[in-house]
Amino acid sequence: MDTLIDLGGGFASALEPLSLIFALLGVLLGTVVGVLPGIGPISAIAILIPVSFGMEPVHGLILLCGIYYGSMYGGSITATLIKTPGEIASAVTAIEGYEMARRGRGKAALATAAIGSFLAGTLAIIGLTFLSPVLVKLANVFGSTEYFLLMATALLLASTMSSGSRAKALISIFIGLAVGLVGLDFQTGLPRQTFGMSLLSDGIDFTIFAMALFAIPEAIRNLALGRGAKDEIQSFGNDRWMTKQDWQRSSMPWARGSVLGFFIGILPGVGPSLASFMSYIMEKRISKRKDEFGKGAIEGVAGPEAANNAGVGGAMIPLFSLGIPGSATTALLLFVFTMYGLQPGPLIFRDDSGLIWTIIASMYIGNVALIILNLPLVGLFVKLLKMPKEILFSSILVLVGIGAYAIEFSLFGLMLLGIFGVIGYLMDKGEIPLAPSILALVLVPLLEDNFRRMLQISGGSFMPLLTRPVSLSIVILMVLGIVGPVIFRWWVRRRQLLADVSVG
Amino acid sequence: MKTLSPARRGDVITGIAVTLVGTVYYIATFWIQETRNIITPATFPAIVGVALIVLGLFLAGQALYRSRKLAEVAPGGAAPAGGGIDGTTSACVNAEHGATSVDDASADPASGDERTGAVIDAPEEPKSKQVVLQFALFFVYLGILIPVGFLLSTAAFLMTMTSIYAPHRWVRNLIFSVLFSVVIYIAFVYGLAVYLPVGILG
Amino acid sequence: MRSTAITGQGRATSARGRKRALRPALTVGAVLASLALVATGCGNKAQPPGEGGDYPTGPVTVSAPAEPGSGWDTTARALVEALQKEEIVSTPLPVKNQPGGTGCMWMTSMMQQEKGKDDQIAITSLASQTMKARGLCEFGPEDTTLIATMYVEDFMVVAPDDGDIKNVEGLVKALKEDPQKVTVAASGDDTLPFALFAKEAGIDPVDINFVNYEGGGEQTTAMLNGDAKVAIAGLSEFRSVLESGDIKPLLTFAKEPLAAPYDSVPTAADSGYDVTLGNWRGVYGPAEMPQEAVDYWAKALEEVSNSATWKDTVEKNQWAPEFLTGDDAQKYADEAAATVEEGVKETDLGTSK
Repeated sequence: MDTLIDLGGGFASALEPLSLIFALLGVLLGTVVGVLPGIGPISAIAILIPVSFGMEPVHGLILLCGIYYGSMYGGSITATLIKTPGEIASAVTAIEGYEMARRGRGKAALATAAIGSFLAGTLAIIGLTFLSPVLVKLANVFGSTEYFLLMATALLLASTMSSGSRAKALISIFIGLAVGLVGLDFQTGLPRQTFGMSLLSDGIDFTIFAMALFAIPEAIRNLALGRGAKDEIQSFGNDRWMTKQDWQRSSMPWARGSVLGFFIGILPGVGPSLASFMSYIMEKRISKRKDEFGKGAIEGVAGPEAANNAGVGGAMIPLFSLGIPGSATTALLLFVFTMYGLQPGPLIFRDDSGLIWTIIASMYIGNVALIILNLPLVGLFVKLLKMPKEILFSSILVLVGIGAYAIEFSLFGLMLLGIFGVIGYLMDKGEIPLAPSILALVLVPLLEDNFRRMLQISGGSFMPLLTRPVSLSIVILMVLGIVGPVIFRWWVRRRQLLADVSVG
Repeated sequence: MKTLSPARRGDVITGIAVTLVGTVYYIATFWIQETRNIITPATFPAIVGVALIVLGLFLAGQALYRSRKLAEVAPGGAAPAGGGIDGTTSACVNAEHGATSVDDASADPASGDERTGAVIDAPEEPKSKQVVLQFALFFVYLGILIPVGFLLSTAAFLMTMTSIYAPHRWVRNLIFSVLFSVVIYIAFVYGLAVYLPVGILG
Repeated sequence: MRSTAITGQGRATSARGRKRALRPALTVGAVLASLALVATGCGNKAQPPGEGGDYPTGPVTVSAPAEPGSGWDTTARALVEALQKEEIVSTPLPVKNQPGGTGCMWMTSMMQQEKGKDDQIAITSLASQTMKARGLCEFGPEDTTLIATMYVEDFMVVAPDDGDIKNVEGLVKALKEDPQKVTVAASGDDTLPFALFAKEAGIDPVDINFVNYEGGGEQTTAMLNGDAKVAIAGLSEFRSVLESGDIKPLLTFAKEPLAAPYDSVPTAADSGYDVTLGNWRGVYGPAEMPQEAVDYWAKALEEVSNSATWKDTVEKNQWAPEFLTGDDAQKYADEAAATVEEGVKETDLGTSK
């Protein structure tokens, strides 16, 4: 009940005209920034921080938070239309979203993403409002053992992301792991796999990796086809809004994505990116139209988009209550809080409750603003695809180049982009799926660090896997998940055999 | 070996390439300093290297084995079913795009009406020479971006790319190349305070 | 977005790049980003070394040797914000990011390509000294034209409130009994002062069971869920959990007792363990920077360190002011370098095979 009163107070100040304007401005800026590859919410927030310090703390925070979720949606626009994920969380959208756009379904893809983001964002904030105190305790159950198991499970599942050869999916995963291990080892600070190049000691940025793998091969292929080739992107005239069937097919993925994304988002360090990948994997697994995945299945856009926005909401829980940022962006927000004299941590709801509730209320408003702004723009964005293809694809190459420059500021970063572009092209050519390696790159630090922490803490023993209740349950689930289907299939076959025998 | 279908041959090459990458990666782990930790910094990279070697060999071996089996069954070697035991889509060089036209019609019948005339033809695979050329141009662009500066190199790159494709529309290409470079430059430098290289104009 | 770890906090050398993105913003510096940039337009050309008494003649680039949003970046932007808001420097001060090799790439450039120039300054910290001590970088801040040290973030050892370890004596006792059992949550080079402390207490630093975490938040969670027994990090990392009483301070490696409310926390030196080390941040110029420019910046930085804007930033982040210029700064950096070198040797982390 207190929560409702607090939230009411928050809404009262978040609904003031000025607050509303800043919320709108924030999501608009965020969308624009999200659209530009390589320029994520981080740069936008960093640039606006001095501006925001001139404002009331409430307005400043509303503006910056608006940028954050605006950019999450902005990233999915480029992922869908030009297969250029500006942020890791939207990498998954680049798979089905782009395939939809190629088939003249760009509007429906963007619409399902926008609506899914809105619904999931709102649900996650409701969760944040009412469940925070309970969920924070979850973090204390999740030690390194549990994290390791969770990451291992995620990677196992990643091998089912793509259709086609399982061996190739595994190759993709191990390529991602291989790239992710380059750089200074986090546990000891020693350089690894840098081939003597000190520039590699910072590791390989995953935005560069994702842009290179997805955007470059596609752009080069289209450009190389040259004149006279059939236009690849079919957006002529009859690109229509979501159909009734689209709504039906999107609704459950939205719901599942929201719940999944919210809970994964709570786990610090993984956040929205893992959420969107897991949602994709789940949708593909339970879909009756498995063969459509990879060819523009709307579920593969609706679910992950909902999940990554719900993940943003979930990530606010450890941020507010434990002071643990789940991503680089939330880390920056945390810094902003500090500069406003706010102290995220166990005491924030007690000491700064007015401000924190206003921020939470502004998130509801920001979500509404996001959908009001973006649904009408969907048609406009899709028009981009009508540009002559040589112009569209050569611009994409320039944009990813700027993106890489804005991350590394060096020739080295640009060359990395080009080299991974070639690797992506070759992988594509060898029919090795690209998405699993991106997920692997995101997960490898968490996988390895937590594995090593677990053994470091236990003195080399694997017993924690079985002695800790939560990890034991994960292990049991994993075993059931792997062995279960095998046994089931065997049982079915046996029954069939028996039936045949009895008939015969 | 004559009976190797293009997809199978592709798998053999892919497998060998992956094995080579894995080998190099594994050898690189020898340079990682040993520590007294239980799991050393080299453990994971070594596992990854070995896994790549094994998977590469498996892929190549599988392709060879299957094509032999196929050759026994159908001496013509035409790979009729593509052997899709593991789901590898048949002999189409680019499964993802190749399968498009076929699946599209069946995949989403209800919305089929919306896309009249929007059936995607199986895209031609670009000629390797063209791909190499495009990549080469892209690398040149990446290479000169910093020394020459964003504005000049980008305008030149865009002009080149668009002119290869549509040489007769050089006026449009020129206007686009210059305008795009300038607009992007202004947006990034003044709007986002991301300094793009000025190069020789500086 | 990856960010260089260390660079991030400017302290943990052992960061694996992107992970550390989390940490920077955490505690670190102020991202009072770059209004300045807008003002500067595109004027970031190299200026010939200034002649005459009217230095600076053109824009001076302030380099953060890491990605946007990282620790060094936020420190650079906070500093520029203060310099311009207080009208101490009127020429444009564009903040540029020069990531690479945990600051090593830019430091090397400053020693070689930018040698003798006067239109470049950059941010550095203890992390760069660790890089050098580990043999990962040819140069350290002490080799450059060090202009000033700005502030220090003091290290603190903490333990969960309901844990077995109640104070320094308890910690030493537990370590002596079975160092394997006392898991120490640390981040990158934060291990160094703890290792030196262990050595002083008569425990082989190599036996200390360090477990690396990503920052105060993760370390706290690790302590609360039992994975870690104690943790060491910059004071500000633990601020909010210290206030809520979930964890308690055991020890600090500061030179002098900390400011209230942590004034009762014993310093290592007072407790009989001769270890003093803080994560300092400073400003340096290119090798052989003209004396005029060095003097100008020493004066400008001194002014800013006394300004209200900077003091506010320092206070909000719970840093400790540590302003030194000239020989004092050099001496400070040399001493820190020696301590770091010893720590690296003790923890057996050098890279020379």
